[in-house]
Amino acid sequence: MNRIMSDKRMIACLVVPGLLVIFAGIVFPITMSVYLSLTDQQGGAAVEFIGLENYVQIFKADKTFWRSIFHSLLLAIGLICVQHPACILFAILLDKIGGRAEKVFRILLFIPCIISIMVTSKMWINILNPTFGMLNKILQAVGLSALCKNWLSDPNYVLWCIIFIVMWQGFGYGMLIYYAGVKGISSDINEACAIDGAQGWKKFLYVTFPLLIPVITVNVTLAIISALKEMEIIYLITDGGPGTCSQFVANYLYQIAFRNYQYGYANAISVVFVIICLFVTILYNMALKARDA
Amino acid sequence: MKQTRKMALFMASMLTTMELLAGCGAKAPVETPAEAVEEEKITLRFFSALPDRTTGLGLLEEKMLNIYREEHPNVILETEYLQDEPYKVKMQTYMQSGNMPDVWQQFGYGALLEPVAKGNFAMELNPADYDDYGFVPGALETYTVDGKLIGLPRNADYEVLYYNKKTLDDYGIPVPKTTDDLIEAAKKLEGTGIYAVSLTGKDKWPIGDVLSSLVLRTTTDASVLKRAVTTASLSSTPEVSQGFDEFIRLVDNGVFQPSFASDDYGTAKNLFVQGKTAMYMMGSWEMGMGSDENIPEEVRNNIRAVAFPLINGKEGTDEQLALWFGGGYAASSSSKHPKEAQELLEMLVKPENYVKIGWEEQLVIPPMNYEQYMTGNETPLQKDMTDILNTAKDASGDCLCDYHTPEYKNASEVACLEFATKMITTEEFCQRLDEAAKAALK
Repeated sequence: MNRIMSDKRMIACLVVPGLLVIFAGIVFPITMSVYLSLTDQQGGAAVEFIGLENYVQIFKADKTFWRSIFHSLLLAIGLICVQHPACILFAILLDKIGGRAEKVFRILLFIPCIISIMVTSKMWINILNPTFGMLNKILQAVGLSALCKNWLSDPNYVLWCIIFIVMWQGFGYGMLIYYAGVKGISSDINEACAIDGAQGWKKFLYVTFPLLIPVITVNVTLAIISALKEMEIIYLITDGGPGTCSQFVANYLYQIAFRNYQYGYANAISVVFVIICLFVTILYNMALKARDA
Repeated sequence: MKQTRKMALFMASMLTTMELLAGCGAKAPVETPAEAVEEEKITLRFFSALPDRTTGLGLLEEKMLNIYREEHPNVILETEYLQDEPYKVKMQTYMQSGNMPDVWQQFGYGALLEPVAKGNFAMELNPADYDDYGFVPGALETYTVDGKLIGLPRNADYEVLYYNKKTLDDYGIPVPKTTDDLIEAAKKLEGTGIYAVSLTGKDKWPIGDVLSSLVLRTTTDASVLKRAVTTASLSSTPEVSQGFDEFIRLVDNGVFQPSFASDDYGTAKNLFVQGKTAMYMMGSWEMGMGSDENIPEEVRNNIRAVAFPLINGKEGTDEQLALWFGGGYAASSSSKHPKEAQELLEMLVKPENYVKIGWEEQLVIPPMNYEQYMTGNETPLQKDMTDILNTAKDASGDCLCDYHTPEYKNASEVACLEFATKMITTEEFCQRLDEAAKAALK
């Protein structure tokens, strides 16, 4: 057996299929994407090598791309500063409720995550519709007609509506991870807190929060990644419009590739996009390491 | 021993041969070569953007496919239907991979016809073969690129104003003939919970169609829009700005439902067919509403159509019509069964089936002369649609967003929605369109 396993040909036979899969599934597509980003490929027409022209266009002239990145950053800030604190709060409250109510609320809060994005998007489109939507009807009913808006077609409100919907849709996942973190805090620690008189805000600040930091780290990383690659909700609700008011990078990339048929340029966007994602993640990890040190 | 083995081998092979022969004799009768060819099964792939197979054009297409199936029992049709947007994406994938369906629905405007023509994906057809189809002037030309006919048109498209006769009667509103009439109607309906006109903005291109019709209403020169777009001179064409300004006047006077900019195609249509709006600005392909049993009978029986409203004080008349041939079919140049693919393509629009059934069942305005198929039992909606078409003497061709390249189409559609929501002025809108057209012309 040892002789067989130390045979180089045998090792090669065992390793090569895996390497082939990695090459075909990861290395080849990335290489192709980088190559295509240096061309002007547009569907069936002949492909011409144009060097870094696409990249120059992105950095010098493509306002929509940078606006989309800005929107992604706004979303990331929204997720980190609004959604996650709310998730932590609800996770702690849920833990405190206990009993059957805890189970019921846990399910209720998680429901948006298990419903198809297609369905929830349509639901929000209907709720926010100014012609027959529930939100404007409620505002009118309580005498706040002045607040009625064209939520999804007003350039001043559409982005905030999208950010809210994305936060709402992902709330359950975030909360569930924090909930697991809260549940993971040893009962001994809770008892020690009770004996020492640390309750409420103090307990949260000096006990719960520090113990949740590993969970927060994971969740914030996930939030940044999901903000950068957000696509489905935007595509289904506004398609980035009106104009580019609610445009995000992934949706913009899709439009360039599959509506404009500018595959070369779309690949250049995807390469820059991946680099930005890597940069942000590395920056975040460096910040964490510095904090730990 | 050796001899015994040889004998056993011989016996075994004899037995096997006999069994095989017996099996063949029982299962397959002797065939003449002609019959064998006739029974040879082949598979054709068909791809269309009409996923609703129970109403309108989808129903008509299904009927044509069924006729083809009956007449060609040896052909297995593998069909695939997707909504507009996914359909366009899938078509791109097919073009990229070179794995085209044998026959597919082909949009007739430049932006979506050009990639197919450039890649030589479509089979070249002989125009003389279709002399007896009775295509109206301009129909086949739409599908002719660089002198090659690469598709056959399916429907004649023109923008009309559908209206619910009962709603207008109930509120004492005369059938609108001008944009001023539309504004008056909107005022009369204010506070009733019913809005004047349904329009979809989320899909963007319908705004482009409405803008095109409005430009056409400013002049008696039906080619003004085409000239301006193809020469990237919208900014310097006064008729264009006047038409665009008129659209903003309609928006400002609350003619469209408040959510028009974010309503998709289905929502805008639903508002009309559920009686929430009195009118609906859309193309002739929606004539099928008159026979769609999913629409409440009270609304369905009261749907009528009138020519796109004129603009008071402007030269345009009903004789200029925003008419184009947006929907059609094409067959693959690389089909393994070119003869059958072409037969299927032709079957889909063969007048004796397509026009006859399509007209009788109120499913389509065909791009062929259809007078011979008129029964005298036409519904009021069919009569309205025919009147609008017969009154026209001059057609505009493609709409605002349908020229040039896919990139122009996308850029112009995005700009249309920005303009409709007043994010940009008429001047800026024209400039944006000119820039997009210039980029496409490079």
